[in-house]
Amino acid sequence: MFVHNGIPALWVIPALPALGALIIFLFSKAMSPQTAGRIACGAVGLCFGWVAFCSSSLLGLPSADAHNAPYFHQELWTWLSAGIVQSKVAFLFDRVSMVFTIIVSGVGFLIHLYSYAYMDDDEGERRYFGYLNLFVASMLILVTADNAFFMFMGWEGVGACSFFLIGHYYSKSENCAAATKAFLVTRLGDIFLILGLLLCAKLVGVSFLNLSGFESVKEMEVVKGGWGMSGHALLTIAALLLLAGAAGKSAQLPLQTWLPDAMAGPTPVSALIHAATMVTAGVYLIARFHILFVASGTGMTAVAIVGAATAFYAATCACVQTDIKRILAYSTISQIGYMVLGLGVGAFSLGLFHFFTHAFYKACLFLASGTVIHSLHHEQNIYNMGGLKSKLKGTFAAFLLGSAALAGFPGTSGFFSKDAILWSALTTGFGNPVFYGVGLVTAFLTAVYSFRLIFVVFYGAPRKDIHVHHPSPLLVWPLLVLAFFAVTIGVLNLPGFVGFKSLAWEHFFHPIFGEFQAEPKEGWTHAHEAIFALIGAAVALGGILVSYTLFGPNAKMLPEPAGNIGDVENSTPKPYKSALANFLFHGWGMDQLYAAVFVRPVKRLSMINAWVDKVVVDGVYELIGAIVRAFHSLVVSFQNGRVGRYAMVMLFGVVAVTILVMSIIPR
Amino acid sequence: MTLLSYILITPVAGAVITGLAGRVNGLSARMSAMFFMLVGLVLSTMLMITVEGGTLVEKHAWFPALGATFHLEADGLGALMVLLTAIIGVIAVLISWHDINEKVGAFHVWVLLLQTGILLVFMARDMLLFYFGWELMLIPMFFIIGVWGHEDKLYSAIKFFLFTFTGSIFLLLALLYVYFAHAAQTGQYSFDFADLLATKLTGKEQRLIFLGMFIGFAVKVPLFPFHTWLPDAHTQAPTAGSLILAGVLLKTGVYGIMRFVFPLVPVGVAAYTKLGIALSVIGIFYGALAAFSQRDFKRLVAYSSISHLGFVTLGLFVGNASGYQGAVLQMVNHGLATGGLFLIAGILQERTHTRSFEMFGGLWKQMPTMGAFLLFFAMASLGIPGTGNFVGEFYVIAGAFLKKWWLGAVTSMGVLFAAMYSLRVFLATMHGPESVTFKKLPDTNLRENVALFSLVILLVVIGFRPSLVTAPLYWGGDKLVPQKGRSADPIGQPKKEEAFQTPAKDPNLQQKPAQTVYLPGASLRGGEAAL
Repeated sequence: MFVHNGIPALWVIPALPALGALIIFLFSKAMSPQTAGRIACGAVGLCFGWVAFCSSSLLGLPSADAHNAPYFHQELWTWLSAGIVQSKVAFLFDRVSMVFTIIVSGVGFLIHLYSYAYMDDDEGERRYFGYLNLFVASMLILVTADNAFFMFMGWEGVGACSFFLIGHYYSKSENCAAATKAFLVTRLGDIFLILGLLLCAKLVGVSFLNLSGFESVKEMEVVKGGWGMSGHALLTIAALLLLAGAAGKSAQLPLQTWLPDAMAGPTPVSALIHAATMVTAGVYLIARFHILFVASGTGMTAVAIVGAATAFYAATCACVQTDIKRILAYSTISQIGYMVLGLGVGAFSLGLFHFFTHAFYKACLFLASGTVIHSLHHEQNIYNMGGLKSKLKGTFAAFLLGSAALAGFPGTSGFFSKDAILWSALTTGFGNPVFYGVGLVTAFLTAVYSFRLIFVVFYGAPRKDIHVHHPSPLLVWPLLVLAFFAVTIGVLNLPGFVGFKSLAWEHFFHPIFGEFQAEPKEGWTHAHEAIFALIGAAVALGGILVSYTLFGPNAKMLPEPAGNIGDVENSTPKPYKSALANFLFHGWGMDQLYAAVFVRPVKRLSMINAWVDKVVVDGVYELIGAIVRAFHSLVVSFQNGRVGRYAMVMLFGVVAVTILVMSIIPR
Repeated sequence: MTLLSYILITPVAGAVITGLAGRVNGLSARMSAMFFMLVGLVLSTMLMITVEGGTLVEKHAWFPALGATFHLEADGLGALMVLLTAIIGVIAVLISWHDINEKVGAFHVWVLLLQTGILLVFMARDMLLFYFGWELMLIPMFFIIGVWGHEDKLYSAIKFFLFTFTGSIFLLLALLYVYFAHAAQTGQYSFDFADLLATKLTGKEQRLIFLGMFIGFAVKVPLFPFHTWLPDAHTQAPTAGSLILAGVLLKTGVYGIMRFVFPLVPVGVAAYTKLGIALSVIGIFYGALAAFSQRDFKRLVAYSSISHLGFVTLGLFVGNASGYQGAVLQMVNHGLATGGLFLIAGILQERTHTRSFEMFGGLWKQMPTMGAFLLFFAMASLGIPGTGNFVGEFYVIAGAFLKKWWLGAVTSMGVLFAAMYSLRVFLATMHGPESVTFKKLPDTNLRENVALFSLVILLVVIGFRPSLVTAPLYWGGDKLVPQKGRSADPIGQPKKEEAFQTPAKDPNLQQKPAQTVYLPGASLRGGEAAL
């Protein structure tokens, strides 16, 4: 049942956490919160074990030529079948799925363990673990589905779980607002996605959605046009729709506004959903549909522009945030921007590599910030922290290593993955110097804000008298595991000029992306690559140095320390004196813009509509009623309460109607 | 006598016996009603099994002078709706156990009679019999709302009655027109739908008849602008009344359009397709927007019904297999999900004596189980994948997309609006600061959990195996499903890309050999088998 012909059963991967969620929900009243936590951890732990088994089986298969990567495939039953909508409940486990499932179940397992300690005193612990398991199940469906419609089930499922978990602390109405915002904004993206998938299904048929049916751009170019547009134009529209869907889920411009607010959820949720896994679903989507984007051409450019712009935008915002989690949230948006930029310049495997490294260091940073918050009794404003280095030693170590990777400190994983993307942004056919320049400036800003965190939170004197209580070991050692990988995992894809074991990751994915993977143009050599790597390293170190002078222990004064931010949604606090800093603090004012352009008009329209329905539409019927009542006084003589009279009137009526009908029938 | 008669007689017999039991005490009336509802459920399940792959027909003489026969028939669609009616019936009795405390016997008698009317509508193929059932649904519902309803019950009951009754007059006139036209052409008076189908009608006549029947059915659906009775009726009805209203009564309107209007007047339908689509799309957004700003739990859900039913009729009018399958799925799913929301509204009202969102908030701590159910039904209502609602809405959107790409794009935005009001139902009740008024509300009890959980299971099963609902549509030669290359296509010419798809490669789908009372596809016009 579980292993057939050497192929492990793939449905087990999402089924294990789904089963965990089911048990927790069905028997939650009978179990203690700790039991729920153990079940949840156990389910994801087993799932990770099974993923590891599947992965080793897959790696054990002989690697074939450039076009045929080994994969496992299993079909269970027909799910959707109507017209162009054809979908099976079927699973695909290839190298892309493998990487994503390892992160989802592996990092997910560590975060589950961490949650067990973090949520210890929370009254909603059972609910929390139920939804966390459900999330992992949905995410695993997303990355193992063999067709796009089934993938969409996971895609929406993770969105729903994200909504549940952002609103976990339900008694505060701003958390509900954040959850609603996250759901609605991502759902807007989902609608674009579903339209894009329908268009794909119509253009290139069902096989395309199996994601392995097309082997060359040529095949895509024979797509027939329609609706007065050429096939190529329609492909571009489909690509742009998919991009909009990816932007919604992955918090890319212009649908990024939900992610900073989503930090209202418990911190492990932010680590798992809003950093390591769910928000990278857009990267997965674009990587899966790379053929479509390459065939469109314009689609690739759009992806690259969105990625570069988002990376820069979010990095500027991250520099001035005062809430430790909002800094990391903007940083996540920015880093996903890098991944999207990588995809957009044709370096698909490098986009995935950055996803891989980012999952480790960002999860590490989020969990570490969770430990800090937990130890300081839910203090999140970094200007109320300070001097924590000696009090939270393990956490500090993890935070430092994670920040180093985020900043692209030479030798860490973040350095290799980011630098490879920047190199591609300059040298491939889809790249150009603008993308490279924006990416480099962003790298500088990244180094600044990531070490701003370190200096403000962990160095200097404590700015506020806060009692630090010692975190339990389970709140520390998962961080150290993640920090270890955050530093070392870069060895999987060393730059080409290193020589030894270099580019292993790219070679691994070459059979998947094949000819679509853009290589550096003629004339760019390893020597150039080494020079640009040095420039990247210099920029990162420079950023750290700038951060040190601005925020370090010897800094003359810190920028204006702010009070608590309060309710960002409904008020516009101005923590800084500088207007520019406040502008960046509010994410370039996009929340306010959307509130004015979309949210308030829709709410007003809804009120008007309810009024119109009650007064105008129903009013017409009320008017008819009034007229009838006026007639009533006229015909009241017929209504003497005698059944016989009624019957007679009715008979006359029926006869009259019948005569009327007979007379209008044309002979 | 076949299963069809037994299914019909069960609630009638149940009404008589429950009426007698009601004279003893309330409990025996409840038990009796429950017993007959369960018998009905068993029989309906048996019907589903019997009909599988074909059609079940039963004919008796009735009024020979008028040409009316007692003609019952169930194909896949019919059996499906009968089963839905039976399921909703059981839950309705279950949920009224503590909700209804006055005139218990009478209440259950009316519910059983209402059930009879609905079943007759779904099974009758003689138009007089159909009309009889159609009117039979009115009176019990009138009393259920008017006697056992809430504060504004009489106003709502009368409004309900007047709207639907006025609609039925148009329906009756249209049917009589066809009846007499058929008599004039053949010299024989017959109310049998199969006979009436053979009537030759000019384009103008078809358009006229379409409008008459369409108004009659659209009031029931209800389509914008005939919907204003629904929020009042839903809000004021007792829980069981709302449940049946949402679960099956509204579906009779859709069923009527599907079963009778489309085959009878294809030219009329083709002429007014744009009108139907426009009204449906308006309904989707109009209902959703109005729902979002309601302050009353049940009123919000009632407006959401208008939005959901807009999807259903849109699926019908786009005229392709996706739309049609989506419409039927959405009929079933809407009944289950909205029914679940009404159950929760009832549970809350029973405990708090209010439906106002302003009084609720932060109830999760007190009622975690109910919160989980409400979350599920809210998610179902906004069409999350994994519930049947997603599949239904998605099929309809795909159908609309195939008809006109912009129609699909516009319709899909309705899903966003659905998310707005669905989340509001949940958040306004469960989230936020804890309510000051209500401190110790009891969580759902076993009886309520059974009722709610059965709806959850059905929705999830349909969500993963939608073919359980869509496959029956192809039993009995899929006369109703739009398909490629039909000579007299009832819903306009499907476009090239809309190839007819076999629903599932299920071996059970092959047509069964003829049984004693089995007339495969003989009765309807153009019944060529396509499978």
